[in-house]
Amino acid sequence: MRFTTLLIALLVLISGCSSDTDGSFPQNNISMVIPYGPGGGFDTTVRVFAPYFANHLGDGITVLPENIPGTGGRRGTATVYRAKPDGYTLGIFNLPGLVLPSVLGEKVDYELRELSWIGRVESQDYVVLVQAASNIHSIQDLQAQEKITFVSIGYGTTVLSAIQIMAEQLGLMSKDPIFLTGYEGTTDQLVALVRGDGNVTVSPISTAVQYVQSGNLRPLAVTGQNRNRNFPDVPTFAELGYPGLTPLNVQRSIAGPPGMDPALLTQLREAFTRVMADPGFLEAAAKAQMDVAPLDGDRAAAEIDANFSYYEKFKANLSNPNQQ
Amino acid sequence: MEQSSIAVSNRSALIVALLILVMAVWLLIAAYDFSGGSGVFPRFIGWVFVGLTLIEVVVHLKALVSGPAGRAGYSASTNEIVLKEIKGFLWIVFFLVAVYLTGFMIGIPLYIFAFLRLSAGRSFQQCAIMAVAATIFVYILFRELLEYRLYAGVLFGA
Amino acid sequence: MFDSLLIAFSYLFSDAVNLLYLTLGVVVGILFGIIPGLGGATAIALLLPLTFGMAPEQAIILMGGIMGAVTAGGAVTAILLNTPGTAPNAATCFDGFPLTQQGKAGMAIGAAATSHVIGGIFGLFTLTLVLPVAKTIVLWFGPPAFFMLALLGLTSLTVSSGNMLRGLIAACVGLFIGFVGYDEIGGTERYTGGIDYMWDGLNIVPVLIGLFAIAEMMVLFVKGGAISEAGSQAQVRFTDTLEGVKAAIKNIKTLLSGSVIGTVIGSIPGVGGVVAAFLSYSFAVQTSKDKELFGKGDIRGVIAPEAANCSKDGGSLIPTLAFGVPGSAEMALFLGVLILHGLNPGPMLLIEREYTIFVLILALLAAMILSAVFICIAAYYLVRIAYIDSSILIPSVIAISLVGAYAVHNSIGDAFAAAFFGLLGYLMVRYDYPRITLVIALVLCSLMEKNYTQSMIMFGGDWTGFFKDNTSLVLFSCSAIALSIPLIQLLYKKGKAH
Repeated sequence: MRFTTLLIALLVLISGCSSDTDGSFPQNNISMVIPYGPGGGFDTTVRVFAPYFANHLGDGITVLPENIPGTGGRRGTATVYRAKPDGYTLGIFNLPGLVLPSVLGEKVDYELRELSWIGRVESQDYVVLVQAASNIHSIQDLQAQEKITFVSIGYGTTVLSAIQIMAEQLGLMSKDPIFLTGYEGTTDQLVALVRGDGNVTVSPISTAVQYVQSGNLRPLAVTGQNRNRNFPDVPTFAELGYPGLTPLNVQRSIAGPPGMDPALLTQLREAFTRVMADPGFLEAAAKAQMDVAPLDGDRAAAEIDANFSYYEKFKANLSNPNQQ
Repeated sequence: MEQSSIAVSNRSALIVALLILVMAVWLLIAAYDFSGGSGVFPRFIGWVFVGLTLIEVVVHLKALVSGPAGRAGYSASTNEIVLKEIKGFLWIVFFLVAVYLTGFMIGIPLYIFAFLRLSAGRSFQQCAIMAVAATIFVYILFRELLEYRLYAGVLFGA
Repeated sequence: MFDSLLIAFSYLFSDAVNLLYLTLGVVVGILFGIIPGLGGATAIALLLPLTFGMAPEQAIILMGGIMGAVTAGGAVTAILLNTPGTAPNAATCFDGFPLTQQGKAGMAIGAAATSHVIGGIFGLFTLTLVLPVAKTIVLWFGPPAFFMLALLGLTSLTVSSGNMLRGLIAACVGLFIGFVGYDEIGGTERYTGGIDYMWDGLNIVPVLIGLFAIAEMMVLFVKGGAISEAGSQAQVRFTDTLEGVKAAIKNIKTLLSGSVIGTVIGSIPGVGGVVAAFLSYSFAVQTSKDKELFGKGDIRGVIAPEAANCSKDGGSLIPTLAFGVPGSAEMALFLGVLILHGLNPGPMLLIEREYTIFVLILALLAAMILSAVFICIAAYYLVRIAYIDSSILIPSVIAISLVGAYAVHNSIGDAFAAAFFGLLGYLMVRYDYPRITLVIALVLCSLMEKNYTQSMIMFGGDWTGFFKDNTSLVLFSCSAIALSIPLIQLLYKKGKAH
């Protein structure tokens, strides 16, 4: 008798683990895949975004961040790409981070253009940095240097690609610069610059702000259309006569698997728009140093093509500088 | 620092050393295919590895040739031990296959029930209790507290 | 600075809610420490959503509670089951487990708890002293210095392992395991066989779970019975634990050297607690006059690594607080928590948020003491685990360990990897190849290779650059000395024999 009860209890437990999908969306918790490990920028963005998104989607459901790191972001992306388009699996994606592997000729298990794009959350511009102690005060000074050593994270990352494109556009390649790659993260890269392992680097702005405030590093120029609020005195590349560098940035956008029901997608996009206007979300985002720059789903998707054409143009400059 | 309490014969130690040598050589050869700087370290360590394993092989050869067929403590029940080792290994494989096919939530109770019943010969009741207890523990810890989606197995989902 | 400290102190103890968060963190930390595969990082990730409504300092108290308690929990599993609860506890198995087999588990746990506290205090004290110059210290260590450090680590390894030849072979295996994956600098995939799972290389956690937890269960399966057969004494008396405490204090030299090593190694980003614990153990063996008991239940073999395990918490905060460079996966998550609460890690954190940092330090201190007390009390009950019949213990530990391995990165590949390394670990025990050297070599592999390659790029191929960097030169001398000590000892002995 006791045994049968136990068996029944076990069966109930197991059946409770499957999700139920009849009825209106959303019925259960939604999983938001982060293709990187916990603690990084994308992780933070999702953790700030998720509760507000859940609120605007309905009562009583949660949006759960799920870290699926690996292969430079491709594993998590492929997971979302292959998931059922029922709205319960979404993900956050890095542009141009996920565009680069294809441009660099590697095989990928996803097609970005097929994902059901919901919207862009953030967009970060880049800034060129040198040591505050150095005598380089402008891009022109940089171009006058004899020896140039860039510090950077590894090959295949957006930062290194940005550095390579900038080096080419600014005419620095003729100085035969050294590309000191392999640092673990942008923080390590910046510390390396402070230490003097190299003499110049490029970094997303939010990571770099503190190093400028503390007086360790000096910004020379920023990408993007407008000057950055953190460095009001620093010119944009466009102002300096290099408009080709303006599109360099890192974007964080949300999407679901391909083939989502249009009504479902619209529901998600509307909730997304509401979150982007929610003062609570904006405040939390500002506290976490997020650069909120919303774009709706279709325009976020259009950025993929823009990225592809931009990076394809510079393909010749993007080979591994340290491969003999 | 770590001592195996199971006796190892000189012959089997030699065989193990030879196997490691083969693997070392294979790794070294593969290292020559790596382009650019990626091969520098693997090649260097590869040569060291091959060298060290060669010495180990020689040491065991000498011991085999000069000494008795086994170390002190070599006992006739070694076959028994090897049998147990294979069984132990197979149980782990069983668990992995169960989880791969049916996921953790079914694989775990299945494995625990089967192990307790077949390997330890306990009564149905005891096996069921342990299986359910372990499953409940994993469920509470991972599903409820951590809200992890546990692997659902090839048959049921992932 | 002193007034920030006082304010932080009163903040922590004035509000009952804060103490509640601290205790919650400690309990969760111990629990996650005990279960192999789950560690501080997972615990922090789990409790992160809970912190949303809290004040930043409260979130820090909670996280500090976890971080200060995790290795204490892990020590319990290491001692009772010969299975490290968290990676750095692996060294505690060597002497902790034999003590359990001899019926002295209570003493081992008491010693571990005491070393935990004293090591932790040392680490935090050093951190506080060093904070004003933390940035300068972090800046001393560039790629050349890190390479020399890795070299030093590997050198101490070769010098201290029992059977040197087998130790070196195991180290080579460890290095090759470290080579697996995509090499970022060279841009090539190495030994991956085209399998996606291998692209990122083999994660240390499943490797450790396999080599120690699963392999141990295999050993137990073949042996049969229960872990501890010594008498039918399934009881731990309070005096046993007290004996352990006294033993720890008696061996103050081991305690202090372990603490120093832990703090120093802990402060090197990317190296982590595993190396600190093992180096501390090796150092204790090397520098002791009577080494025979090590590996068979020498209490110093528990004191040294556990002191290092806790002192490394203080050490790893040095680069974390100075520049926001995380010293470990746990620290990376902790930084994420800070960011979410508006405290941005980086060079300004120390300047702008001194008070908050002191809250963290005090929370860690309180957590270390609290967790030590908890495990001593819990020892009374936990020790019974050693007497559970293996037929129940084995499948339970294997099942939970493999789930833990999966849970690290949500990857079933990790569970398979753990099982594979379980088999490898068993074979290593069987044929007498030391697992420690494999693990240390694995951990040090990328540190060594990456920094060597970066240094050579920096020097433009000129290796004399290693001797022009001050820190690098100093560390190289240390390696040279470490290598020559046993040689000198040998010559001295021979000289005396004449």
